[in-house]
Amino acid sequence: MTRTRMATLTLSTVLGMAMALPSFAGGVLRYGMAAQDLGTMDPHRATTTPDKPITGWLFNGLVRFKPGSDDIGALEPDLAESWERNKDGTVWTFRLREGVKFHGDYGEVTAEDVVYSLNRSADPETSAFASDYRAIDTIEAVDPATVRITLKHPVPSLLGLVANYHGGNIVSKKAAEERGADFGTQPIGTGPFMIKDYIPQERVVFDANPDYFRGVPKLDGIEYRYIPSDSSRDLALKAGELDVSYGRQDQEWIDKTESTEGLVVDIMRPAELQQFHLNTSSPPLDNIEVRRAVATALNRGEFIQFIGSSLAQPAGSVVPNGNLGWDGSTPIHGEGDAEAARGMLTEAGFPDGIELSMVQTSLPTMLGVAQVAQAQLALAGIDLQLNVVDHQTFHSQIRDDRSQVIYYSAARFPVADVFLSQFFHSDSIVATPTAATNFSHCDAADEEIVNARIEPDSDKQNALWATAQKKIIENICAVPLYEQLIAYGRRENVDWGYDLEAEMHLGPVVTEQTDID
Amino acid sequence: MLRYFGRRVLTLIPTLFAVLTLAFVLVRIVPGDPALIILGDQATPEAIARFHSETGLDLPIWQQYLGFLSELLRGDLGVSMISNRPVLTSIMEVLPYTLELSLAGVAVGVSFGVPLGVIAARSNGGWADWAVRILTLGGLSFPAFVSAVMLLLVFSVWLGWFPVISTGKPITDPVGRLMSLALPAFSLGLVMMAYVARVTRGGMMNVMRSDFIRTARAKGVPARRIVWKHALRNVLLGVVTFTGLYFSVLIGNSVLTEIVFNRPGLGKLVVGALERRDYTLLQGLVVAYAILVVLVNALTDLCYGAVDPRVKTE
Repeated sequence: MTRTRMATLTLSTVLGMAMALPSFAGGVLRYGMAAQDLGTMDPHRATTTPDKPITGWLFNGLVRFKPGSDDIGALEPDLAESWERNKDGTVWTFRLREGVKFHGDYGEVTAEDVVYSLNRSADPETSAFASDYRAIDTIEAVDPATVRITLKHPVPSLLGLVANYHGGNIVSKKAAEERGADFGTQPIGTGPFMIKDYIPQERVVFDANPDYFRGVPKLDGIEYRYIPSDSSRDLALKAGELDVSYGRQDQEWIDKTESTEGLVVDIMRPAELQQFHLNTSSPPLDNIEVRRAVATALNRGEFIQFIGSSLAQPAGSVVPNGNLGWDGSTPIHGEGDAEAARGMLTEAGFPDGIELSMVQTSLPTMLGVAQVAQAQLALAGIDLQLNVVDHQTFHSQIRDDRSQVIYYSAARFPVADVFLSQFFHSDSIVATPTAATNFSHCDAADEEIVNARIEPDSDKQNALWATAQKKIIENICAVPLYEQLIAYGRRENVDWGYDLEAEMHLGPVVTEQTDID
Repeated sequence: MLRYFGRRVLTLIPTLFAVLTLAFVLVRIVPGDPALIILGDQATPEAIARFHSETGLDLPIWQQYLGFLSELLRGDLGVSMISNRPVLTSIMEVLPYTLELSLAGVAVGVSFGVPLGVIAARSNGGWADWAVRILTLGGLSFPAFVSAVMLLLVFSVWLGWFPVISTGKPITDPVGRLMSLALPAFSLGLVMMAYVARVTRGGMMNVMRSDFIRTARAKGVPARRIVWKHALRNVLLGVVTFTGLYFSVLIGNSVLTEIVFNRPGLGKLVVGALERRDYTLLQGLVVAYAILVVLVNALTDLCYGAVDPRVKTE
């Protein structure tokens, strides 16, 4: 045998062996995520898109959003089997389901764990969501199976605060105390899947929880893989190495994926509201007529065309559609009328047009939107100067009040108060001691926002929220452009086990019903 | 030899010091804040301030610098600002992957590049020469991320020979580990192969014109022996120098390869740390890279001796 032939033979043997290797067992769902690595699995700390879906299968709340739904009006029992409230809604009593076990040998869920978890969520030392819980006065364990929450004032969305989302997730007191900062990589909850292994930069592996109170999960486990490169994730899904994959958020990707045999695309809410916040304290934007000109020159319809109708839907207010208290009755500018905008600028004393500066993230989809806006505004003589920086720089510079126009995309806890408070209440103005994300320096609706927070009557509360939105829109603090949904790719044989229309965890949550055929 | 190594280490100290200082200052001048990553975009100013004081980010920069240096002298690279894991552990976990990839890339580059260069030189203007020159031009002009995606598309998606995701194969599964290494190594080695082929070709053309080759020919040494033994040995010195120099470049290029093929490694760690403004991890990685590059250079010097006995006597 010649050397060449021997080499060929060896090579083909190696290749043959590789091809003969068995593919993965059917029982483990392989889920690809666009991230370098895990941030944290601590539900009270997890704020990023890649971290949130995990908390959805590790933990439960007292109540839960139905799988596949983001309807805060349709919450159902989770760890609590029933609850009642006093007449004015300031005292809530929850009766816990019996015999629910934490993962591993952390025992049964007691009222102690619930009290500990909610206090942990309300403490800014241990939680990213502490401000959501500021209306809570006390949380007590009445007996091992009963929890009582007393509020400083009624909160109509209280059930949302104890749902399986953000701070409402219940953790094992013993595990959280034992593990401290390591709880983020060694979480203990009650959900259908439990942590098995975390390999940094690579993946998190979960096992089915055999004691799950809704029944043993159909899947054996989940492999959550970190694959930051879009093309690699696409190829891996196509090659059958992934069952589910975080999609590229554009129409072209959706069309391409849907036309691939064996693959389907899941599109879900919550929509992130895409807005241009106009800095009302920075000349010439301090002049409302100039802001009106900017808003008039923007063409809202074109953004939807640009993103594609599968993923983009019209925005009807300065608060995301579907939020409790959303009101879409106030007309919004965004006609794309360059002539009218020019006229407004001339009348405002800027016949030669204006120049505006904008700190812009380099994230591709967001940059594309900003460029579309730049072209629209140019037609009206508005020169939008894009100062493109990487995403972290963007986040820090806009919080330093360094931009006149701020393009921000966000979804929040689905109650209007959260969005209104963080983006449009004067306490939240950026670069102040109480800053949140009020980039526009808007203070047009402070009174309504504060009054709505403590209004016990829900009709009156809705009316206050509606007025707040009207005032903010009429004051042109921000121009809502469109709302963007979330797209995931999936192999056809994956059955979520529920209708996936929305997911508060920003990614499909794997439940005990999820299966691979 | 020991003395030689000692001298190398001594010259390394000021270099390392300069690199570290630069890295320390650079990561802090770049805008961005790890607090926002940890606490999320709804973080309150109080929470951000608390994070800064816990991590020492509120101290004057010179104080932070002194703290960093004194910890470093004790061999402590600190813990990651984002994940709280010891930096040294994070680095040591992935270092084997990067080393393995870089070495395999070099192996691909040299073992394909040298023969190609020799063949081209022998053909000198013939079709084989042209073929190699076009091939190497191709290798040089394709950016690594393009060739990587093309390789994945052809060999993983269409032919299904190799996995798309090249992670997670333990050393106990050598076949799996090798299979997942093959495409990334080839992709990484492609550009190097082109360079090596060109260096070899140029060197061969020169050497083949020297007197000792003519003498060998005159003595009746077979052509094959002249080329592969006498001539090549002289060319290899240049190849080794180049390989040593290029190895550092390769470690740098491995960043892209690791991202596209989704392999764990220093490069992927760097990108993640940069994106998340993980200052401590970035500093640690700079230390790791600096040590690696210096080690590679020292090893290259050692190789000279093996290839060319004249170096030893000097």
